[in-house]
Amino acid sequence: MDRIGEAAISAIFVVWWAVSALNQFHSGAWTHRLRGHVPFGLIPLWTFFAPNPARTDTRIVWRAEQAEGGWSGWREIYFGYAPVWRRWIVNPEMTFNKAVNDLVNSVARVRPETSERGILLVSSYLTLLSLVEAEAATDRPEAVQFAVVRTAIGAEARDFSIVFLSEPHAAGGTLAHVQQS
Amino acid sequence: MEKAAPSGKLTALELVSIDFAITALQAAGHKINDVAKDDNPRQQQAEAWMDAHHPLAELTDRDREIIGQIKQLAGQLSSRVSLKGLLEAREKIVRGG
Repeated sequence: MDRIGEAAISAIFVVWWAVSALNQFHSGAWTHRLRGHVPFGLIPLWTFFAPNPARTDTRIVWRAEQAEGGWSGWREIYFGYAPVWRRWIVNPEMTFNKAVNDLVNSVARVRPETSERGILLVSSYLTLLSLVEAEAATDRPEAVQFAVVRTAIGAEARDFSIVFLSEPHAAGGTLAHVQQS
Repeated sequence: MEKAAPSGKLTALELVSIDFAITALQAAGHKINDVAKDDNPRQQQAEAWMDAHHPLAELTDRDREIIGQIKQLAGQLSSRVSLKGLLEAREKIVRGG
């Protein structure tokens, strides 16, 4: 009986180890579904500092097409960043910036699985578009378009890269929350 | 010239640079889904950061379940479709219509 118990416990640890090892590849995409059923974050992912620490900010820029024709210049949806002195204890800005990061990451994850225009119906894309429409509402634009830009501190100035460009969308629709089920 | 703080708002000059970059990408024939490349190291870094911090809201699971219908319906969408139109199309899929 003791041997059976030891074997069972060993098997649990072996499976746990194997799943944890799998979780370190492709940002945990292979174990994504399983992780949802495992409580207390028992499947670890060690990618925060190594091998490539993240040093980028994700930003949403948008532009509006006016009734008289022509696009405005690009503008940023800026939530701001908490000053360092209070960032460790009160950091409400982090919630908004994190939400944008999560939404952009969701778009990036689903994009390879869907068709070129299928991304338009993905919930994270719709949420980003609703953010942009809300921001642009006072301009009463004919259409809006947004892009995702990642910035990093360069040697002299900030470096940036365009990581996503939306289609132009007719504006003036309704603002709504995206239902998940 | 404006001095950009590391995490400060994008300056007017940076926004103009972004405009030029987007115009160049479009002129080169890039479409909505091929602007971002998976081999972009900054994107990989950011994805690593995201996973390590477990998303506040994971939106992709439900999308994956209905990806087939999304593909089918997305092909029927008009160009410059509005947010309202997209939400109605999405609602049709979610309700199984």
